[in-house]
Amino acid sequence: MMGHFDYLAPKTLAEALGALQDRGSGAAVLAGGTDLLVQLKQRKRDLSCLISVGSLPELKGIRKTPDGMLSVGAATPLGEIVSAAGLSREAACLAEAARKVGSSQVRNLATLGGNLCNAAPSADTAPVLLVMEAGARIAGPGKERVVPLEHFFTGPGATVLQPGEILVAVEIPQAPAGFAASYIKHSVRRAMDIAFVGVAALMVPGADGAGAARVRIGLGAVSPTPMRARKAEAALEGQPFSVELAARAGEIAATECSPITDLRASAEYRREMVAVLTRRALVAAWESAQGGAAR
Amino acid sequence: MPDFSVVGRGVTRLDARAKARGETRYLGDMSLPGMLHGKILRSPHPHARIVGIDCRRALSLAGVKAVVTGRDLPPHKYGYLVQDELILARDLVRFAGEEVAAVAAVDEDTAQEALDLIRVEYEVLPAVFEMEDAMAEGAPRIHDVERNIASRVVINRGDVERGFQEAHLVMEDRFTTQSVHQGYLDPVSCITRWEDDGSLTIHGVTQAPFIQREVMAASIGLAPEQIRVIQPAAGGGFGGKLDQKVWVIAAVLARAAGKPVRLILSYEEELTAGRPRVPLVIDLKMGFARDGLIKAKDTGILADNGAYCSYGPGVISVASHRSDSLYRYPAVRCDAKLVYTNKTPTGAYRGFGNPQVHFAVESLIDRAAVELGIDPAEIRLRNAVQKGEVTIHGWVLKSCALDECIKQAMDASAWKEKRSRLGPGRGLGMACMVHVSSNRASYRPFDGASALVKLEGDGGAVLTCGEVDFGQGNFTAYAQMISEELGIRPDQVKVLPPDTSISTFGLGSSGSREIFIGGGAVRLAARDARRQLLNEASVLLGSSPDELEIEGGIVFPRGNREAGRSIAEVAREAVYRGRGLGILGRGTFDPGSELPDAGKYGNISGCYTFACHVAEVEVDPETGAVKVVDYVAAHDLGRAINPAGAEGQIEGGVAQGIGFTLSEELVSREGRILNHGLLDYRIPTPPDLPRIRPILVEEDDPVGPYGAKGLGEPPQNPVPAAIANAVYDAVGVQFRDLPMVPERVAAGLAGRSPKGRPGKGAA
Amino acid sequence: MKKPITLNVNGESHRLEVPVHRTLVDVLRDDLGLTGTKKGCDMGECGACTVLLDGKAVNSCLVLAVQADGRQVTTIEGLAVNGKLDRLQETFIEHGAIQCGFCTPGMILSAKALLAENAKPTETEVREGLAGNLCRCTGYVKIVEAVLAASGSPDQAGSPEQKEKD
Repeated sequence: MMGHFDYLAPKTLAEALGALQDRGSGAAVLAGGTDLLVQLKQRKRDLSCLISVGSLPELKGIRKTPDGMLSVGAATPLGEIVSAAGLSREAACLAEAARKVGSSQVRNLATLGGNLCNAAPSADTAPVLLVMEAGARIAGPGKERVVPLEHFFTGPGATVLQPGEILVAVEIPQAPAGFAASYIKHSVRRAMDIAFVGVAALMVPGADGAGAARVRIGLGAVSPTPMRARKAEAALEGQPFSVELAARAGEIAATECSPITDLRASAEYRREMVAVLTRRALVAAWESAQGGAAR
Repeated sequence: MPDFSVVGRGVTRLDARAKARGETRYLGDMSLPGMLHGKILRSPHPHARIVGIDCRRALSLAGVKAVVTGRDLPPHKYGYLVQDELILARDLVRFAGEEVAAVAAVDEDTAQEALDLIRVEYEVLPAVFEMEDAMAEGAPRIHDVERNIASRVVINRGDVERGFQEAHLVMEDRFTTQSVHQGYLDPVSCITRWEDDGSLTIHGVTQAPFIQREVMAASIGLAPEQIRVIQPAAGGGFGGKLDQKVWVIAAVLARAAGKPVRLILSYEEELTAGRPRVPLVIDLKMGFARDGLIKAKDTGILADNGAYCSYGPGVISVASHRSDSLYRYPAVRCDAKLVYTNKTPTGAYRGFGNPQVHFAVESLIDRAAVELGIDPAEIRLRNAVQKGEVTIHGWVLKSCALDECIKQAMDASAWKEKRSRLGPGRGLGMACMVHVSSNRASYRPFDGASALVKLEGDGGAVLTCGEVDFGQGNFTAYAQMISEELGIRPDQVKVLPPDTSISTFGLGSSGSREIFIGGGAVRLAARDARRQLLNEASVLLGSSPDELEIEGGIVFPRGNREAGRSIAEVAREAVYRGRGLGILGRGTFDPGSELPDAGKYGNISGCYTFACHVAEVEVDPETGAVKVVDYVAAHDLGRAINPAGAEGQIEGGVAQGIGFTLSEELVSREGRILNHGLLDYRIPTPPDLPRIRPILVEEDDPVGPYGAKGLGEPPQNPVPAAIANAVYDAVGVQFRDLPMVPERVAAGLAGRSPKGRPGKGAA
Repeated sequence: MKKPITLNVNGESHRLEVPVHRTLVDVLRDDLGLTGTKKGCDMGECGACTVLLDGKAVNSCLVLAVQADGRQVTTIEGLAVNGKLDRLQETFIEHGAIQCGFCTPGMILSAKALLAENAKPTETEVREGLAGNLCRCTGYVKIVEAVLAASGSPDQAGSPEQKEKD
């Protein structure tokens, strides 16, 4: 039993923004519903109006822009993102993370925008989008703005979205040539589970081939928001790559995060796993970059 | 082994087609005219006094037809073994989730809204959550019993002290197991309806219709016979649908509202206020001779009862001694205590105390084997009980294929090639088990079953009995037995689910008794029907019954099929000649078990089952993740009536065991369950499990129908130890606390070489 | 708040007026009498309520009925054509993949969606494809066999007939 609310299904983004404005604080955007409807059923939220954005053309689909950017509509189901892995290497990286969310039934409903706007620290798509330095395109009463994803999350369940604003798309810039990325999710079950820790790594090999010119590390479920491990990145950049170095970067990443103890895992274990999995994600990305041509 | 034409063959389940089409009706698919919907208000506090309840606003909500509280009801007690519960709390609540009030309304939403309008004033009382604390001096008393000990079982047989003195090696350790939910997907539910004559009809799934109505009768002031239980299709049970207090609540709601009431628990209610497995703390000490023979065993058990007893006393009785009939024990001692705490009451789950204790015993034996330099399979073979023996508790083993199970599991798992020879982080582990196939102590007046087989004028048969199929497929096995005896096709047999006003008495689905006991009665009823059929045919055919044969639905004088008559014809004739009664076979079967004495000595079951499992695991030494990559389960089941069904029992039981071992746990803090959904209560999903490989070890039991024994509970018993022993083989550390979630395993491994081979370590 | 909607279920069009907070599973079961879709956890965590929405498997407890307005819904009742069972229904029956049957409709629909996308999946792909459907009775062994058998994938285990000879 979800309580009583109104339901609006606007036909355009402008209509949706208007409705959101009109309905005020009791209104919420409904995309896939896999988080929101559960929260309503569990009576964690009490809303007077749901505004469905699932069929807004402005929020749908995955496309490459002329400048090489990959633009993913916020209301694109994760299942569609998984299927679009072949579109580009950036799309493949996002697909790898998206396929680790829930189950196929959940992914057919859940949207990328929902995964991000729900702002769970453990959101599986977040670390990989962080390392790809994606931006969040946001529409509101005024003009659209683009916020780097790193600044999109403000706390557990909280984002920069202001009342009346809607996440329209996630924009992934073209990654440097030769890059490779990886995402490791650690959970008890192989599906239908929440990550204890999620680690994404992106590496761009340097000209000499011995080390990485660019390294980015994204962490999930180990701080109030998904985060970049910048000190660990810095420890790797420009250095000859080795497993030992990756392990050292993992140790640094473990000091950068601020995990909590909850039902699923202790803070200590999460921190240890950040060290282990960061190393593994880096090694995987590095190896993938080395065999990049084949992939 | 004799060969049968239908028994032991691949016969499709009778209900498979309807289930595959979505046509099967479970309780939630049913409704009655004028039916209302019930909901339960539960206590948010683990221990509190109810100062007052104000239902006025709820009652005045449009659509609400009844609101009931404990004070509206006579103070009758409810409980299967110990009557320590009220239908709805009156003055005290003893766990977070206890039923305080109930509402019946025109729909579920209205009932939910009404719950929100009930105001309950509580005075919170000191609560106690740990067993040691509950038994301490001055601890809050949860019920009026000394030190909150609800029940105690003490066993002392043979000279334990001498055994330890003579032992070459004495091993001692503490093992703990957690609370897990039965995890059926079809939640507990019922529709209750009061009839004009003051009797009560309940549509609902229980594993034991006749027992459940006996248990609930007194609590609502009826005789058991005034309660009619009609069973719809059942979506799993696994012990969790033995104790159905929800039915009583729905009954009082229906009485107050004057309308039928349907009540279906939410999954959150299932996980917070069901009757999950009793968690045990097991202090185990075992002595071994140099050659690995067991000299003595001493066990101390603390069992977390939660706030009410449910099946707890039965569970600790099983935990105290059932595993002792697996090996030749010269001396055993056990002191098991069931302790009240302010937590969700615990109860029956597949294995009934046996998986928990097997985890401890089979783990410790593995460590002893390594310590003594004996192969773990060999130490088991040396101690294994044999057919013809009487075990330490007086169990008579008329059949026993434990040796054969061990050998076949070794072969199938490539034990000799792989044990301790796999690469780093990989290991193989073994565990065995013993179980009963009925339990004289569970219902003292009768440990048997009964059945009626009616022959129809179309040549088919209808079976009625008090037994239950909640998904395991025993009804199809029954049809095979009837088909075997009567020479008709299995799909010509209809098996009616129990209706206590029509079916003959039965104990239902518990104690792994449905094939062995229920099947025993069905076979005899079918034989009785066959005898009557031959008598009737002999009149029609003019030859004596012993000259007649039945084949392909035709009864004929031996060697002269052309002269025969169809079974349909004979059955129809019999109806007229028998003035309507026709051919009605009656069967009753009692396995000749005996009620054990106060010290638990006595041949409690009609037969005993054995198994040997081998797990192969991969351990990630850094993350602590354990993956079961292969699993072999060899079961001594006497004879498989339906091989695919038997395999299915093993595969499902092992899967539940893997969940119990690696991922499932009801986590509570201050008495409140934190993981009250199936996202964080982690039942294994398909990618979490290997392709489990069952092995059916068939050696006929002389008592069971066609040689068959029970198989319901056994497959879960050895799983935790098999996996723990495999992890031990893989990384040299044995884990003694369930579940072995990654964090726990990683902590246990910290500072230890992942390549280490089994040593003396334990974590 | 109520809304008029049109649900196309199993090829049949239904015009309904539904409260906007009602989920698809409840409307299918209570308003259309299609009780083959099972309601287990009601939180999208067990998969018993799986139906196909425009050909994709979804948890019908996580879809508002109004969100399904104008879309194609396939439930277990719509799988057999003129009384002839779908190949998956047949293999589930033949392989003993059904015990209590409560997960079966959702499981078969997930398998249907899987095979539509991947006609010859490997065993691993089948397990991943069914990851959102819990079964507590079978350990998934015979379910996976049934799906592989329906697909004709080379990964399939022995047919039931072959196994009997073992």
